[in-house]
Amino acid sequence: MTKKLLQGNIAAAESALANGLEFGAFYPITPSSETMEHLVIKMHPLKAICSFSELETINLLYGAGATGVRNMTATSGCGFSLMREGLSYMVGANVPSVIYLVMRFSPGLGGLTPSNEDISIVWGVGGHGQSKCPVFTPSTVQEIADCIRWSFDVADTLRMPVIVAVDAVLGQMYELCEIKKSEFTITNKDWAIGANRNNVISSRRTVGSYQSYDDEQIKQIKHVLEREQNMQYVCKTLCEYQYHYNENKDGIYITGIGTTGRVVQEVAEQKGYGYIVPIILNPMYKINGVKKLYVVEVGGTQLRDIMSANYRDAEIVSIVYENAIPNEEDLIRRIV
Amino acid sequence: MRQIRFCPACGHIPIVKIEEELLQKHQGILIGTVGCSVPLCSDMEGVDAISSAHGRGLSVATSVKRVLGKDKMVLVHAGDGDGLTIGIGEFVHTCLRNEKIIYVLINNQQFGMTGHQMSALTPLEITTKTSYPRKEEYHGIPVHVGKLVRALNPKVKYYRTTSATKEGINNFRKYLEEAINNDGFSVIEVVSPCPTFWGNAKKAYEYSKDYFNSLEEEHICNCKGK
Repeated sequence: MTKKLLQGNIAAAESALANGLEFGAFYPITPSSETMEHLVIKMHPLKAICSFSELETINLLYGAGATGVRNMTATSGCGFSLMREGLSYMVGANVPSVIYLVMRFSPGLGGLTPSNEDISIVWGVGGHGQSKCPVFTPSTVQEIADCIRWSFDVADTLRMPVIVAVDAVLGQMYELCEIKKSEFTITNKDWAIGANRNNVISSRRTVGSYQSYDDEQIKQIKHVLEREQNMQYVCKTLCEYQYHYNENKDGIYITGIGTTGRVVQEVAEQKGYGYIVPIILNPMYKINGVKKLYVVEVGGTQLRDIMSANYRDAEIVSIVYENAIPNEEDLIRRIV
Repeated sequence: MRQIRFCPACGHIPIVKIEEELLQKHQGILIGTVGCSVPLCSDMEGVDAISSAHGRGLSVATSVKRVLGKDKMVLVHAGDGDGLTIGIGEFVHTCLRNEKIIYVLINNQQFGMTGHQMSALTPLEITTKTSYPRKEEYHGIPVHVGKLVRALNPKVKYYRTTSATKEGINNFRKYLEEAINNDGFSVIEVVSPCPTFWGNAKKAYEYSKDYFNSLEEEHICNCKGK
């Protein structure tokens, strides 16, 4: 395969098509609309639905995922908020899907400038209830394509939605990229509906006096809990790398994700510190021996909270840029 | 049915039995929604089913239909709270797209599962736990499903029946069999008695019959509910 010059959003679409995407549902939202535009042209009109809202989008994916086909949507923060109910249903009902989330700035309508401000909600829980999903945070266009490829495999293996979260710069950026096809396939989908196996896809748990748990339900609940433990193993097995990392003997590291993660790598090399740039944010693969961690992010203090939870013994220093990706000179000045 | 988890004398019961029979016969797929019928997906025997979120049954059905193809029977079982209150957006767009889906709308004019609150179909002058009674100036006018469907897309097939009479139940079977062979979206509105919240079984059945008859003329029900 040769490398092509692709925009981040289009690389996501191309990678999905190369890896067996059969159904897509979309609602236009800046800065992710290019993925929708590209897939609607490339796919059959019946299988790429321009839905009337994000509420419909996520439920279209729920139905398509329940039939066992690979499905995907592209959205941004405001749209993702609307999808969280459906996402929670999908986690509860064990339905695989891929959500490509291009993050933009500020709560509410906010702005169109890049930010990392949705990572806290995607990392914490996808929707209501215990609905943690795997989260990928690529930092180059090539990694977007790779993460989309892995996310389909992870979604099929764990039978749950997977979120690929990028910032707006990365989604709009053009870079050389190679679209690869996954060699991993799951052909046995005997849980899916449509082949008259009398399968029920449901997130419903009957509790208390209404009806006590039966064996099947206990099995299902156990499955949800076990799946979280399996997430760590599955992501490590199916994904070629989990983070970018450079060791530092003093235990001083700088961290950031997405485009900020690229700046962090440059700055860390110039300062002589180590760096950690997570490509898989959830489950987090921890680095040992971190004593001091500079957390660089755009928009808020969400990555700081995530890193504080994961690196409890380390000293965390938060560096926040309000609404722009940091430049190297400025970041070097701020890291003391 | 593995078990029936509706209240005694509920208007759902004959309807879901007919649905189960025809779904089994045609190897169809049931899309359950949230409301009184929420246990339906696990209670129906020998049927593939998806339990969807509140009001989103038609979205799930649309993608299932498009993935599995035109010949697969897809039936959405919803109530008036689910289908026409929270889910009216889905309903409008499915009518406009004329997807080949069967939509069974159980109309008991209230939110039954949550305990008798006003829905978008609760008639004027009717008292529920959230309307004392429903007044146009405070709550707006109720949705008339037939008029809405006709205004949105005349190609959509619309049937109205009731589970309060034997004739109505027989008509439901007839309509459902007809809907399976339709080319586009089929809406079957079933006026269903709710003995738990409309007084008692006798009152509920009488009320439902009156309400069903009143739908022919206009959507203002003068019958005596609870």
